Amino acid sequence: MATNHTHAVHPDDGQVHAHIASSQFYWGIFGGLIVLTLLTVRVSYYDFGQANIIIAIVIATMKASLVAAFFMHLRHDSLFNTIAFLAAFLFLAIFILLTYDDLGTRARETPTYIQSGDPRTGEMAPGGPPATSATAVEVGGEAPKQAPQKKE
Amino acid sequence: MPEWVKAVDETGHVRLLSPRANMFFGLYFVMTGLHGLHVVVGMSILLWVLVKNLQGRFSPQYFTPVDLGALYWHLVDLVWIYLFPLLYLVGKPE
Repeated sequence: MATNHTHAVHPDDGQVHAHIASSQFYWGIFGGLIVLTLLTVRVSYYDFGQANIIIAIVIATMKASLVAAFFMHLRHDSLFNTIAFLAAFLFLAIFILLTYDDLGTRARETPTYIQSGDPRTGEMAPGGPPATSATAVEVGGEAPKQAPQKKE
Repeated sequence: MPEWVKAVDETGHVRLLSPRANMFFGLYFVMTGLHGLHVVVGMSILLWVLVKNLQGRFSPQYFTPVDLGALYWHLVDLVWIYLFPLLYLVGKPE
């Protein structure tokens, strides 16, 4: 069978199929991704409180959808591939977000938690009082050693 | 359990990093480091695809490595789409 034969379109026959789109189309998607990146940076300069992270994730999901649908051809694949793909990303999201959540709900940071000191002179950097043992107990850590204050 | 850690800043001063900052940088360096590793692997694959393509190995009948290389690259891409705002934009100081 040396002749070329055309395959009928199967929903999922395990073969890799070509989906040729114009490069102009791909540049268009690229432009959309750039615009959304600029948007997410711009938006980060405003403080929406708890909504900050939601907004960031919504914009990121819009970008991810563009990449998955067009660059990764999921738009032209069977729905099953999309479901398998989303399942993989769901577990990645659990992996990242639960760790991130741990970070956010651990000790609340106050300005007194960070204290600079020069070990050679014992001089403390300006910018707030040294951390006290009370704040250290609050986070279950050791009380930071307080360097001797410089005589005035 | 994260603890207070001593770190030397760029001026040579010893600073105490709070447990929370300690945790953030642990997460930060694992995430960016692992991602960087994947980027290097992806670039190697795309370089290999480029070389093979210049040798004329691919055709409309055989282009699987091109397709799979691009798929891998975009998967790595997707990870950064989420990591970038979460690590650099959310919760940054004014």
